[in-house]
Amino acid sequence: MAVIDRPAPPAPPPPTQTPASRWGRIRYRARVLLAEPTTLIGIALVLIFGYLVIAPLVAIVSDAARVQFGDDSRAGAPAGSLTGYYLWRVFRSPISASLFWEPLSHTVVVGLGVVVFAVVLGGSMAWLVTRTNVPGRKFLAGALVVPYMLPSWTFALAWLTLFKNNRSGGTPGFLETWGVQTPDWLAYGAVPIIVTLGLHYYPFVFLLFGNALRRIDSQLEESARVLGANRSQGMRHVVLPLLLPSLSSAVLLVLGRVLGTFGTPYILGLPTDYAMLSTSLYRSIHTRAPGVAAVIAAVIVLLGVLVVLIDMRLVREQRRFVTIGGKGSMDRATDLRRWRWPAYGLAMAVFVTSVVVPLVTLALSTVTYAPGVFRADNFTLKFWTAESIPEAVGFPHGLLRSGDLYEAMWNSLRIVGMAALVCGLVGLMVGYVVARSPSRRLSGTLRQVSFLPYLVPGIAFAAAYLTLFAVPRGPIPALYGTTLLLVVVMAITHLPYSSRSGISAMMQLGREPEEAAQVAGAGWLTRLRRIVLPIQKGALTTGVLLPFISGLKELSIVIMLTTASTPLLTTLSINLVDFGYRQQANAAVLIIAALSFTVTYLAQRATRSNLATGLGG
Amino acid sequence: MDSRRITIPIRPTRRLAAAAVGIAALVAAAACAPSSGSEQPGALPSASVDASFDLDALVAAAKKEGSVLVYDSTGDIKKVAEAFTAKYGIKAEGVKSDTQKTAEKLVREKEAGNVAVDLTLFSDGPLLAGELLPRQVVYTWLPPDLLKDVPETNRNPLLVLSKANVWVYNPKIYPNGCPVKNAWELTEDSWRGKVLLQDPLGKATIVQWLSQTAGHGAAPLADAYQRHTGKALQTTEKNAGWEWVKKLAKNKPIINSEDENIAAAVAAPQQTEGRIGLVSIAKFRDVEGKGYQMAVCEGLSPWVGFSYSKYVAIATGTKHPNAAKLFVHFVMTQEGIKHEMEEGGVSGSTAVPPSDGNPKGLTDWGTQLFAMDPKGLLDDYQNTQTVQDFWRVQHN
Amino acid sequence: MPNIELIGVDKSYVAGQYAVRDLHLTIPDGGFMCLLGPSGCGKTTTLRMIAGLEQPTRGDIRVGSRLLDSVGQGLFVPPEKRGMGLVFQSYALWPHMTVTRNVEFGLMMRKTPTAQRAQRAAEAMEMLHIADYAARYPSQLSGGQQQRVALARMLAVDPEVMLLDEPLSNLDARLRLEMRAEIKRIHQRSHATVVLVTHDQLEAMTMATHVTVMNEGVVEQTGTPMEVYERPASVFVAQFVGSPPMNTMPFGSADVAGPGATVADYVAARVGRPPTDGTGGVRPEALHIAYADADVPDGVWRAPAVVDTVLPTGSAWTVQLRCHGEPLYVQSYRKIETTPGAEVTLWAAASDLHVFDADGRRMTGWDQFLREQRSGQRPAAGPAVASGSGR
Repeated sequence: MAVIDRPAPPAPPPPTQTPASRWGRIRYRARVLLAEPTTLIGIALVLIFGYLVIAPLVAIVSDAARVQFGDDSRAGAPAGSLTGYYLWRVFRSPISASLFWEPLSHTVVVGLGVVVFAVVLGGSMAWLVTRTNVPGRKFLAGALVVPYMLPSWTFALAWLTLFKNNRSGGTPGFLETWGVQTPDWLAYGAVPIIVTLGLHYYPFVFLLFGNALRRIDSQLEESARVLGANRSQGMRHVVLPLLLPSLSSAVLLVLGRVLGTFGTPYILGLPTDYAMLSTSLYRSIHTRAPGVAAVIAAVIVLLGVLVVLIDMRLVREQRRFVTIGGKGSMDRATDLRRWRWPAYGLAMAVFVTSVVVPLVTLALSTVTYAPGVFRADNFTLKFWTAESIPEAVGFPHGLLRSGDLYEAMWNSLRIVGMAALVCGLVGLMVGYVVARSPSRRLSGTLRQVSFLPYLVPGIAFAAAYLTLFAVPRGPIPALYGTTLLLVVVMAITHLPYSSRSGISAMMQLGREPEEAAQVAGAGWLTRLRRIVLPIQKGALTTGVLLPFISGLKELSIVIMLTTASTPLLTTLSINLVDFGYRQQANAAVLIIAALSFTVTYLAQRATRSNLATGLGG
Repeated sequence: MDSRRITIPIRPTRRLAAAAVGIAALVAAAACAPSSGSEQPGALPSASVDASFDLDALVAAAKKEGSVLVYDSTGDIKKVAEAFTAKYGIKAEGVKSDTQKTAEKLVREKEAGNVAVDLTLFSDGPLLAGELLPRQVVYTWLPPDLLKDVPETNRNPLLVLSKANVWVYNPKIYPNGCPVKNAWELTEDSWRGKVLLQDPLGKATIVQWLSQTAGHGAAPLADAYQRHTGKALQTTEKNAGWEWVKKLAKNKPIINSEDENIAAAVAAPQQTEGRIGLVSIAKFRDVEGKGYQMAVCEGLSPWVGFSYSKYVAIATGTKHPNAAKLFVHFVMTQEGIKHEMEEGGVSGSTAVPPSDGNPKGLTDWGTQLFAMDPKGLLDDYQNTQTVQDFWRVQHN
Repeated sequence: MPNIELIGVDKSYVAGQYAVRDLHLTIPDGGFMCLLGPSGCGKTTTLRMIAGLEQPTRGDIRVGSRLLDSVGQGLFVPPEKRGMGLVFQSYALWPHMTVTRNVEFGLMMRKTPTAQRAQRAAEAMEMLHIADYAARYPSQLSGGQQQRVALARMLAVDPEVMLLDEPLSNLDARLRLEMRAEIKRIHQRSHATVVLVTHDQLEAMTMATHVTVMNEGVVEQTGTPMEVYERPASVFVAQFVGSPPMNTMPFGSADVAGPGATVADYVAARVGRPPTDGTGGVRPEALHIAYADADVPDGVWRAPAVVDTVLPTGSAWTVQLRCHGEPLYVQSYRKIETTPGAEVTLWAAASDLHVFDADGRRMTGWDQFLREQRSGQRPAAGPAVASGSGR
């Protein structure tokens, strides 16, 4: 009889188990994949973006290495062959300093300047609005986003109206009429470019920072304080690290725009020959030097990718933070006490400079005959409302009297609206896959690829799309000239806003609400429709609104991809400029801004959401 | 041609390497998205003339095609198109698009074989002659019945309309007429930083003007120099033309993005400082409405400005060749082109009377303006970069 | 009311590392199975595999006659087609739906007619006493109320299999007690097969009909709560189940001379052959304190100890002592009058001793000895102690 022995071996497995064969395992994984389409959708998105983002990008950049038509004698090789000529021209030739290196250093200076300016302005405003008892918080929260809805050149226009000196002549700036001689550095070049771009793009920081601040539990800060950290230590060790991801995200969005915006730097930089990479690119495109343009575009994209990589590193850090700040986020406002009203004054000053001044400048330009002359007989409302303006042959009535305006408004609303909706949905899908996909490679790829369009100049993209879609390729019909293509391309080029908002929103939504529905019997589409979309409607609204706002201002893509004229507000405005009807043209711009604002306001009211909630980290 | 100095500030990680491989793979995909062809630039192809021509037959054929789409760099094209539709009952649409975008569109449409733009009124002559025509993106078609009024030099490419840029001054500040009598004065200290130009690095017509000035504007400029200083010009540059361009660039002219701003700078009501600016004659539109004080710098030697040309060409792959031809025919008549001549301009056809919209002081285009030499278009195309580089170096 | 079978199930996220390994588990019809273990032991993974939210890398899962997962046959039924009910630890209520809509959702998915749907939802809400909050949104409810909504949401569809993932861990002590009873009541009423995941052994003991203790992806023991408590299959189970945990002493830990000083000696003296290495264990409530040798019955295991502290809990006294340098606990429901530093003798009846081998598995030989002793096949080595003084 056994006395002390080993325990009995576990019972042999019941005979019902099916032996695992390799084939069975593959079939099993396939079944699982089909039941849960995240990966399939992810792969589909990667393929679609590969076609719509990477292929055009490669086509654009590949021009840098091929001899372009007409350059054969200079490059010493027949057109179409491989060449290092453009690289040489941009980086090493005698004119490379003025063509590239100087603009590059200016871009770095302006980029850093704008980032600092926007972070200081947007960050402090975000703090005031979200964490203090400054009066008028609600109003400020909405009002301080408006600068983003105006075209960036309105800020340049306002700047010149105020600070222009007699270097470029014309209507003197206000300061000069008051006897203040503005120096060139204040009127043109780096300073005004930094300030105007900063004023235009600080809303990104304001939105992102504000959102992050709102999410940080003030208990976290308080517990640091209890442990003996003073205010600034608590800020430095607890709050700032938590804000870092949103800071990096905002910096990324701002830098991306600074790299790509040419209007403002062009207007404000030209009088003192202050060129940036974007102006260099613009000039190369406009004088048809596609090889050089491709090299510069590639540099811009590379710089952008660099910033994205840095951001991704920080975002990876942020994943560790996700668990923090979960429930019961305490929204304890700092009591500013006697600084309350001064702080209010400061916030209102920002509001006035960034919203009222450009808007009023723009509005004044629509009601005066000669710009900047403030005499009673110089004012008129006729460019808005007159039934007949006989001297304006091409557009002989006030803007509001024109059927063209309403047609253009409708077209803009329809086309940009559709693109924005597509954008919002696709962005949320990108977020869904990035957050849910078990494959890190897939989610990483999607995250990066969906951001690339942000960095590529619209005109270059549009040209590449014309080639891609002018003929049927495989299953894709020739979409060139259709509204559908316009919608698709607008959606793709404005996708970065939506995908960012989608990713951040989905990262914050745990799997469980969806799994609960799944167990309750809801299939994938039902879950998406009844659970994910309703919960994410705030992010979805942001993902639709941001592309809508920036899409309304879009021009190059429209001109490049429509065959006949589909008048949009922007094309209407540019045609009016061409006729020399500056007043009506600016009135059209005001209408764009008003449309942006109205739609944003209504959408936020309807969904009880806030632009900020969507952009996230 | 060393290009290896670029240092990319990213540490090459494995992921980047993988991305590079991915991009390399996508180059294959990009091969189906060529952005430029490989044709060789060559001499200008000859213009196409129909052997037998019957306007009625053309109209009938055009009507059968139903519609035509034309691109132009001015919004006036809409009115031209409306007039065309009114006359022939053929739906015509005119779209404003700047020359560079139009060219890009035409090239890509042609490469893709899906041509939507039927014809273009195109004001960048060098680009047309140097690239679009030789690559057979577009071709020149001559309306036989109107040819008798079109001088031989203006037939290839077919000149539709000449427009002008003129030097302007502010008559309120200078009531005795233009303060500048000689083009060389613009390069002197007294006008340092007071001459306004559009961007030669971004604006095709300005580049072309500089290129042509440097090319065949040398002799008149040398004469003007002699007249101005009393002695012959000594220059290390190729000729007086290059010398003038160099001196102009070195005299710190103010570069502006649009000539609207230049007009305002020179002529705005509050302006008290003397300026000279080069603007398109279209800026004389609505001068009074804005209260601008602007006048052509009459008497400036050798030229008060320059004229540049707008040509017409039909897309090679057009689906509406007859309607396009009819449109070409239309813009070669007064009935068609008058809509683009309201602010001045001279038609390519001598049968069309001069515009009454030309600004005061610009009476004789032939002598007052520096005219672009149509034979120089190909050279201009080749020289664009050289001239721009020259400008860059001198201006900085 | 099917039984759930997991047959040879593996789950690994990274090749070579298993979250669950070679799991064989049968959960009987209408049973209440509690998966018990520390965090990271694979219990939640197992539950999610049953729900279909995770997929095994090997093995089969079946419910009744229905095969839900079979890696071998390439068969997978997605979660939405399994018809189960699941309550999440975070409740996972849908924030954009009212309580009623939350509860009705599952019925809607099953295409229940509207009238019937409303009635069933009302019943479920009634049963969990949340009918008053029917029109509220989850954010307007307290934690306990949210928990009830989550339960009602599961109950409304009347699933044959109910899965509960640590449903009580976010509640305070009083509510937890209340909800334990609630869940037990629900189970008794519905006759559904329930699987509950918890790391709280008390929860398992009080609610379950069956308990499976898991550790590092492997099942340590399956049985009824009393089986697991009375005959823990391993040191791990012994220490995990019961509060305070079972006292364990490595065989070699004592070097005090004299028979009965160590568990090993005591066991060897009775079963004849000295075990080489292993662990002895005795539950705190089976351990007794004697102030004088005379108080110690014959034949029991005994050892000298020094009192460290006395921890009265109100209903019981827990005493921490030191025996051969090892800390031990004694739990008694009678008042213990002793002071720190007092030298006492500890004793436990042979039948209250648990013996584990070097791998921490229970030694069947000792159990056999006790069985034989009870049935009189062996001479009693001492007077059988029917029940400990504290029981």
